[in-house]
Amino acid sequence: MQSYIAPLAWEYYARNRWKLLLPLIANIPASLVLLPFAGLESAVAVKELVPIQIVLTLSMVLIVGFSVQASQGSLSRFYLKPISTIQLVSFYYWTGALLVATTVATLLALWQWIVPLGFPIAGSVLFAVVCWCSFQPIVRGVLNSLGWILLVFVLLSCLTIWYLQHYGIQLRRGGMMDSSIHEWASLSRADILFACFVITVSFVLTTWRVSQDRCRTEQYDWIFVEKFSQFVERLLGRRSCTQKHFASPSHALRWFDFKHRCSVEPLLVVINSIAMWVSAVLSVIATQNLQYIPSVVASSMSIVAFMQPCIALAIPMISYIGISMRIPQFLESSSSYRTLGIEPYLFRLPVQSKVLAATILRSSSLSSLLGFAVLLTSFTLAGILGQILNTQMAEAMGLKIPYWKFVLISSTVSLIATFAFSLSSIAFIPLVIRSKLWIAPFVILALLLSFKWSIPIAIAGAILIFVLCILVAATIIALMENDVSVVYTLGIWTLGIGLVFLTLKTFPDPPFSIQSLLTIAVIGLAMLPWFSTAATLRKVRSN
Amino acid sequence: MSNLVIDIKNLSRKFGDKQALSDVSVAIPEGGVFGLIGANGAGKTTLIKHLLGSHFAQSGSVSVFGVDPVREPVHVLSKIGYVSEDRDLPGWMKIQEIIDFTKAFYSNWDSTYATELMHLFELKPNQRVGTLSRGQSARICLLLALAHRPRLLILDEPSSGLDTIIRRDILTAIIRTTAEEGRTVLFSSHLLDEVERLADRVAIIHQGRILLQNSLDSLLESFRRVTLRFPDSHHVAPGLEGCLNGRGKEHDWSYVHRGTPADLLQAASFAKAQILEQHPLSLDEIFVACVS
Repeated sequence: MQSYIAPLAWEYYARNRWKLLLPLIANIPASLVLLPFAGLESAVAVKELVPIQIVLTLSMVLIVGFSVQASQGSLSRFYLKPISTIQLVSFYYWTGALLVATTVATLLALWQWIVPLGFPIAGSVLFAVVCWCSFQPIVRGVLNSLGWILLVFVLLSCLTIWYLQHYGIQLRRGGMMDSSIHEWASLSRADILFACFVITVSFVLTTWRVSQDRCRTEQYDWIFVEKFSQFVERLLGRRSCTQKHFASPSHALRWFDFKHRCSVEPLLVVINSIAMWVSAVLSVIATQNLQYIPSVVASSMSIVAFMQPCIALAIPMISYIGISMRIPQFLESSSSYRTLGIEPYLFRLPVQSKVLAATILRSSSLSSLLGFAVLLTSFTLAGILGQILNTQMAEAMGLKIPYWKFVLISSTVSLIATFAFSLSSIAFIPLVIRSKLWIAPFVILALLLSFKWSIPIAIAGAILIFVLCILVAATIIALMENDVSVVYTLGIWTLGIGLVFLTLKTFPDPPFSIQSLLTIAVIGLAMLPWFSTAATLRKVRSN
Repeated sequence: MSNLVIDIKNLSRKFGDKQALSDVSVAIPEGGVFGLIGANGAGKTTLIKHLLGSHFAQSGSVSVFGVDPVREPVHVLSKIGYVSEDRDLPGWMKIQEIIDFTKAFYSNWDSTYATELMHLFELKPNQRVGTLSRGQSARICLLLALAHRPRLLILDEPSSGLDTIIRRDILTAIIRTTAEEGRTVLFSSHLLDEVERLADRVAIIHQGRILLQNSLDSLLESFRRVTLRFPDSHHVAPGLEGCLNGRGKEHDWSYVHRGTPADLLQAASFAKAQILEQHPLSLDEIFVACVS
């Protein structure tokens, strides 16, 4: 009898081909965060880098896990083939785990090579594999009851506690900045036993779930969302769908776009902030010392401020990976709409691309501003509480600048970066991919390196020059196509240049450091959507 | 021709190496039902997407209501009701939400008609679009396309997913009523009995080319199946002007003839053949004869 592995492996490869490299490629933007630290020789000793390590590893695990899952697609396509459930699950479960492990290890080794941050490879790989495996029983079947929501939260909480516990998040002063942190550099016997147990149990449960799913003929994917929605409506006391009255097409579009595309980011910031306050309160209960609350909350909020742009970048990235991998036979038009994160239905309505672009910009601004407001409120509350309790916030957080200056800088940079990244799939990525401009940064990099620039500065410089070139080109095109007025253009450019001066003032020494170059590039990216969105939409609308 | 709703001239379109449309010219006057027939992959949807401004004309021109739909999407789309083949509506919305949302874009939205259709199609306002079956999705698409009483209704494979009752009774009634109100319906289908029942004019598209375009009555009149007896025995079908798809053996050969009865008589006498029998063809048979 012919082996089932060969045809399944061939189908998996043929289905994805070069897209199997997407998990690696998708993590490149995150790697740029490490550039400013590339000059540090003993970064392991810099405790402030631990939060960056945590956020980067977690976002990487998320992107890699999702990409591998998306590349495998639904197993239902094999349900009518003469292959047993255990064979089917075995192939996808173990190859998936192997792929996750290999990709995470490769990326961590790469990051470690860029910056010697002391990334713990073995621990993170084990964590990534356990995460991927433990979610298999949930995602490999239909989610048809509210119980699954609870299960997802319980599972996520357990995994988060397990992960953070290895990063010195202990309920005492200093939290992750404590000198006792060991950053999961070595695997304990308990870790290995726990991992083996979870992976084995998950395999059994996945096989059972797939065998259950195989008996069904209907798909209940939406029932999960439906029940969740009903649950929220019950909570809000609204059982029925009330009629909506939109005053104008723009009003309707704003409602649609915010609900469809922009509501997730602020919601995640709110959830993260609440979680941080709850952990701070728990730490107070455990230590019986009220003074720890402000600094623990503020430290945690700085992680949230850093995570917000990562989430903004991850959402379109995940959506792009998911769509690219789930639709092997690329349906030219509708998939190009969807990779932008825009519903194809909008393009069938009698609305100008310019109006649609304005709506998208407005709802993205609103979404970023909401996140900014939550961050600022949380920081401010922590600051006020610190003053009431006589806590020296800057000292407690190990800051070299005053607390309020730190709050303003981190929240503003987070706001700008969140806005820029949330629109990357519409304003930036299509521009680069479609016009084959992705070659340009490499050419610029080669040029800068030929002038004997150091590699990190050359990379940051190449990114900045590339972004500025695209921005100038997009501005000229927008003016020529009458997408923007001269006053509007002057307004955006004045604001952008003002922010650049502020950045140079904030990072004065040396005048063009990696931090300042990358921050200016992010400012450029945040300016880009105001000029390129309408043109991109027009181009995609009529391809 | 005056009052053309759709005027396509020498339209060609390529996707990579594949020639999706080749030198297509179609003119559709205002009012009536126009059926676009073709096998899967013939180019029906690509042609329709050009009318909606979703594709630009690589060569040739497309004019809907006298303007280019790519340049003037608002002008064109505000007068069009469109039901797509893949029914790709936003799955996260509820039926009532998508109705209210779509209503905001059309000044002539008829709320009473929308409610009537919702009852007729047995749609529940609280149901999420993503949970609908294929048939229910087709119904909500129809509702959204019809409720603003468009001047041009474009239906891309409208029967796909609809049950027989909805298809035969409701869809037929809607299409006929729309046409009787002086509006235009363009629908693509591979169900030829449906096209024969509904259309006033038809076009057959095959491999990106328009093979035939005429009023249905003229088309049916101009085709017939004939059986001819030749004085000599033949191994292959003897060539005759206007005759397609020759089948038979020795003296007796059957053809699909395109032309007038006088043309047939002339062709038969020229070949010294005797007409044994002739009978009209259904659209189905005409389509097969044209594309095979």
